[in-house]
Amino acid sequence: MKYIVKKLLQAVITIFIVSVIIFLAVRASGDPVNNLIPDGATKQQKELITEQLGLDKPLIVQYGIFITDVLTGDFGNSYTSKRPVLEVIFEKLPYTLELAVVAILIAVVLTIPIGSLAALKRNTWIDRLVIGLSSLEEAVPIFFAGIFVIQIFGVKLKILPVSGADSPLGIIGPSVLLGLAISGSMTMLLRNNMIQALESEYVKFARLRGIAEYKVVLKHALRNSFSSVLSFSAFVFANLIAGSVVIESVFNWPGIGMLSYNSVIGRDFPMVQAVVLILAVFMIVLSTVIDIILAFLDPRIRKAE
Amino acid sequence: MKKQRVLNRKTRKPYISVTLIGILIITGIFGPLFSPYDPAANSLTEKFLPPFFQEGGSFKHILGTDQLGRDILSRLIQGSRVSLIVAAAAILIGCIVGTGLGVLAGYYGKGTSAVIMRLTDATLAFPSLLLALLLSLSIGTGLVSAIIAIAFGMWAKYTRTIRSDVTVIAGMNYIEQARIMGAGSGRIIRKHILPNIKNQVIVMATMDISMAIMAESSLSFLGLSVVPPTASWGQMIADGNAYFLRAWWVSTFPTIATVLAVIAFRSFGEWVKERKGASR
Amino acid sequence: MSEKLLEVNHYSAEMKTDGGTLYILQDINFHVNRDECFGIIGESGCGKTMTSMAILRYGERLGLGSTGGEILFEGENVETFGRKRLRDYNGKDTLIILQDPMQALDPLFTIGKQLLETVKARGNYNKEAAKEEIRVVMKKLSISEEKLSCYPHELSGGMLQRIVGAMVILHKPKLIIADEPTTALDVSIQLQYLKLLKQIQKEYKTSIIFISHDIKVISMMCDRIAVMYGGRVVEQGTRDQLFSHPVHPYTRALFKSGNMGGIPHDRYETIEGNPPDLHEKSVGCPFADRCKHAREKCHKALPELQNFGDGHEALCWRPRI
Repeated sequence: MKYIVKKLLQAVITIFIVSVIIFLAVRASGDPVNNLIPDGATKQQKELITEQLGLDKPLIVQYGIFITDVLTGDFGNSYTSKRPVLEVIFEKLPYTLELAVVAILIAVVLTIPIGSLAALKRNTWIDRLVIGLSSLEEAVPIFFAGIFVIQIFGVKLKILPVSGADSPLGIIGPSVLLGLAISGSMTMLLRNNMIQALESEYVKFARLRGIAEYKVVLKHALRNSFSSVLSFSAFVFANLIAGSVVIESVFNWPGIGMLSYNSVIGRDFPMVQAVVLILAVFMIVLSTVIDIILAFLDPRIRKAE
Repeated sequence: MKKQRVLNRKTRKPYISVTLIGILIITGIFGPLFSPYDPAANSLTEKFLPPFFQEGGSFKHILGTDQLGRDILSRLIQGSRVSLIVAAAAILIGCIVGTGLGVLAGYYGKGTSAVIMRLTDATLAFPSLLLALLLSLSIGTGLVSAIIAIAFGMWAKYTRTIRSDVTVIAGMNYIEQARIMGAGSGRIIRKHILPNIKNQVIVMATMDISMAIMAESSLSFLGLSVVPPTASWGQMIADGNAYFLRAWWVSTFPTIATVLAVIAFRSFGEWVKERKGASR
Repeated sequence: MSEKLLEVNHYSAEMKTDGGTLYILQDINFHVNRDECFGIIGESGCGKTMTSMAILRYGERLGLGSTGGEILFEGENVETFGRKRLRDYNGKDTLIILQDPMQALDPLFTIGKQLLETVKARGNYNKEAAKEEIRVVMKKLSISEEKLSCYPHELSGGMLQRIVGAMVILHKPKLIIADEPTTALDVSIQLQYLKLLKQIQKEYKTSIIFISHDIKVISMMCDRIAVMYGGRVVEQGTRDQLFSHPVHPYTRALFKSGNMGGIPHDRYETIEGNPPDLHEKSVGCPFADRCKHAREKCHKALPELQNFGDGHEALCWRPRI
């Protein structure tokens, strides 16, 4: 209980710092009024807008206004689309969620057999092949892979849609590429953990008790190495929700990543502010929740704390 | 009782990686001396020339030209300089700031530590590219903002690791001893703590080089790094994007350069990690 | 009842590593009778554990390759076992008790599940019957049934080793290999556990190979004893033979360092020097460098096996008789 309270308190403080960073970063980006007023506006018009936006007040007061607005759920309207920021974000979120879930599923499905195989065949050519491919998966810039897929499968062969989420097939390109990119490090993680598990005393004892090899591998070695893959997935998932800016912009996928990129390019401050704040808070909440759940699941962690 | 094990074969010395890294550093530093053309010189009559081995290509432009007739090899060489500068500067800043704060948090503990750790938590809550986007908004785009963005995404990791290392070291007997002998905090940190975390920092920094190169590439792909006409790999890939079917070489060569650089630095990092034997 | 259950005949094995070949076991020669406790004693790295791994055919997984000799279990060469026979051999005929029970049991499964799994490995599995059997065994070892739903980390080392004992009873193996089974336990419960092992042995007429570096424990448990040094058996015989007339200088030194064999307390001593480097096959006696009685011959040629009657033998040029 004490542990939970401590974690929650820490989360609140972290969120406060995050809000300050975002507030300052956005304020530091110059006078947004210049972007709002039409060319050739008079000085008076400019001052009027500055006053309307509260930009003439001291920084600390501005922060106070900002945080009260946020706490009451008012993130303002987008400069570009004039719609409430939150509305736009919630419209884009499902796309990103969909992409993240499919990508992680692909990664996990690839990782379990391949990572286990590499561990079982350690130091053979199979293992080396897996290691090589995994590092390649991590080293190839995903934006090039994206272009490649779009041009070959979309433009030339016309099997997949070129971009966007209009066709149900549109998700294949980005999700497979993201899945591959994730599975590189995930496979290595599983392989290394599995090698450790295979060398452990409990696996040795299980084998020497005459338990069939496939059961030793699936029940004892895999289950023990899988927990790390799970927590890694949670971490990756959080990052993906926060939007894979690159993949979404390459495939023109209408999710959070695209939204944040476009709003930065369009200098849409309320939007940037809200997106970044919501995502950062999401990350903090998620990692706090994961910490607490882990402490519940594994009594060993609870004890260590 | 202890079983002698036939463990992993020791990683071989990474000759190939070191050679690649060497080439990269040489082109990065001395590139302008042997760059065949001005990387920014365009010539519309010579656009989309293929590399020498393909029909229509020649040794005049070994790796061909892009949509503005600029020599790809020269641009790759210039891009290597950008990648190296950004990676080196970002790591230097991230590493020094992160390690410094980590040492302070670990050494002084309590309140200092709490403040610093919340700061790192807050930084780590930003997904890396989002942070770069936000910064580009406030400090504009360009080489410097790319460096700051990458460094900003990096320091917190050092702080976390170094803090926990220093907490352990600071609790050891000989530190207590030194304190009793009248050594000041500055001296203890310099003489006893820094030497002990040196390896950890070196390992983390080398492992981060490939990450920084990749990050720079992504940023410049999104147009958030160096401003054209200065070439960078990510931006070259972005340029080639639309012409991939017509002129595959425009985006493929910078991709190969990125892949080689990332893999070379990564396997070099693995080797350093094994030799220095740090935990992370 | 002195039929041989296990015979290790001039068995040698080595391991290839980066640093060259390690000659782990050289010309190991002993046998274990039915219904007896056979002890193997020696320092760390002398090849005790590797001998047991070779007997259980686990050596190859650790990179240990046999280079000569044979290991016979009930007259059958274990190296010829196919996959099916090997599983029966590991699952029914033999069972090992490892040093640290905390690490030997899988942290993610309850004790009950792991016991059931053991029964399953025996074949002819019936869940209800198996549960009943486990209950009976638990009662016999006076372990409360609640422990079945515990995870390994929730129990003490002594309790876990008793659970491994329960596995032994469930297995009813012909051969138990106990590899330092009490080293990881609190001193207070070591004796209790040794008694349990002895009781299991008597009741089920199993043989035990008892591996330890502790002379007191060995002397308490074992009928016959082999002393290993540098990958070789340097002396073996019955307990009485060894404790009343140790002939090999190493055995004598070992007994002295453990204050055993009637040597007065004031002559308690340690053995100078380090165990031999297994990277090279020694030309002479492996113990020569540390032996007080070594002469030129000892350094030059490997001693011949000398027989002192009734199976008491030693590998030494200058035995102390």
